Amino acid sequence: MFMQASYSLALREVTRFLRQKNRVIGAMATPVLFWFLLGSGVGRSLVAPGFRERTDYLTYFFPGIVLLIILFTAIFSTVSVIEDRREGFLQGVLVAPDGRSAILFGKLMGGTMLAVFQAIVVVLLAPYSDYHPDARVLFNLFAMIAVLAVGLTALGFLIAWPMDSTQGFHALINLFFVPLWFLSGALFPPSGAAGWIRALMHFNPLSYGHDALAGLLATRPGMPLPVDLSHDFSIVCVTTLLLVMACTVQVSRRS
Amino acid sequence: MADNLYAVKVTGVGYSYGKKRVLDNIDLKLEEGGMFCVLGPNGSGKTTLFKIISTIFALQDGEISVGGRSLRRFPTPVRKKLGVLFQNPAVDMKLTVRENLRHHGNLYGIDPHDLETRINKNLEALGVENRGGEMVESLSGGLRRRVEIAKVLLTRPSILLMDEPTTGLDPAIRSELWSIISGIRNTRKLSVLFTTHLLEEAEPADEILLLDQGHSVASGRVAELRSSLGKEYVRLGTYSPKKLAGKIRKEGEIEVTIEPASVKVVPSRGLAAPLAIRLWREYSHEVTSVTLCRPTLEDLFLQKTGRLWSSTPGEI
Repeated sequence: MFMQASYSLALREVTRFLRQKNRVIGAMATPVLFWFLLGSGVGRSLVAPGFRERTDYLTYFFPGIVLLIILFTAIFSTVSVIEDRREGFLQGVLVAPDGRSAILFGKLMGGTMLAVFQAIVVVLLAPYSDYHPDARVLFNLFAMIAVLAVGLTALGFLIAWPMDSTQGFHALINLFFVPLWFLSGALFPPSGAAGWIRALMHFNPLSYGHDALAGLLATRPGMPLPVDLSHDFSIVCVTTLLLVMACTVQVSRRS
Repeated sequence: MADNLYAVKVTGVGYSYGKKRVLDNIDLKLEEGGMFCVLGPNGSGKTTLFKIISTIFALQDGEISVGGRSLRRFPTPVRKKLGVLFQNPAVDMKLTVRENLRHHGNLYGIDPHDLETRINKNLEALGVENRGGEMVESLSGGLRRRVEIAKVLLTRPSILLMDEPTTGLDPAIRSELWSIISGIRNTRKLSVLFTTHLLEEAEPADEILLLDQGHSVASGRVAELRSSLGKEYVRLGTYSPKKLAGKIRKEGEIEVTIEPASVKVVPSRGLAAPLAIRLWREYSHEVTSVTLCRPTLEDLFLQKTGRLWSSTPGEI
């Protein structure tokens, strides 16, 4: 019953997403446009220590844009928790036999499916950034993207669950999530940053997600996978697990 | 009577939001197949009680059993017995009618083949079989309510819980909704527990619980509660209630109460009808209307709380 309920809730998320054409276009086009304009605009004008061999910003910025798509899709999918509560749909789920756990895992599955799908579509643009992932790299990218998506959806859920205002949620995103992404290495490498910024980046779990994505994308066919991949993967997995556990505790509490 | 003979039994239930006590020591018993109304003005705590029984809120004080099973100890089996209809329809506006029902069936783990059969039957029973492919957002308020009922009944609950089910509906749709609920109750042998702030909606219930500011002020069968209030009385409409009341009081052996724009006259002996005719004849130049009244639930509320129904505070 639990899986049937969770799957149904996840399917609902996807159906609702696909029925809102503006949301589909916005979710896909905004980051890609952002990447293209900023990447092309900065071009080769920034050569900072720590940049990879190719310092074309369009190339450097690409893993960051994949991360941004995962972050925004996963987080925004959880806004529906607040909308569902306001519109009354959520209470119908909460009175179902496994409603509380089903709503959590349904939202996690739904958010993850949407984020993974969109991130993979963007990864297909990788050759335009001079990245040429082979099947082995794509598989690892898929796994990394999926874990990041679960973790970020859980983070969004954790914040959205007690809230009753979507405006408040958006304000928190701007205050919390955008800096989280800035400090992941998506926009600039840690090596050239101020000491305190480097420290923040070191403790930001998203930095390890970005590092894994960047390392994997840079892996040429036939080359070994990045040495720090398992380290990055472990940190992202543990963080995701902790976030899902926190969500489970939160959702099981009744007023 | 043993607990398992009651569809719902609430004993000593209390609830606080932080330090604010909003429900205190509430008891009610819904018999199998019965219809029970929790009646109260806005702010009386009925929605809080509804949320506790429907398992949305945790049970803080007291005990609740549903079909003989403790809600505190066995919330999951209890939820399977309940069909819950909220004040605002718990349907997804961006899904079609059929998708909403399918989703609800999945939440309750109904076998997919069986689910499609149940969906068809319920849509037909509620007269919305031709609306299955339409988005819920395109339906009127009345049709949404029908969809909601079709959805709730998919799981074949034995108890139907409804929180102010006619909120936001016009009088014609309200009446239609109540006749649908009455039909369902008879055909499916449902026990029904509902909340309302509309006095007329409480009348058809077998029993009522009258709430005020989180406290039970009266409970029992509607007819018995009414008869406990006493006899029929006469209400005289007038532009000068004080003056008219003064004159009538002089007659003695009549209980006179001044109301806004009217005077209530209760005969101390005899029937109210002859008194109404006499008063109309004697004071025709001062009286704008004469109404022969039976004690109402509004009178009950006035008697128990000392306040008029319409002067109550906002919803909790």
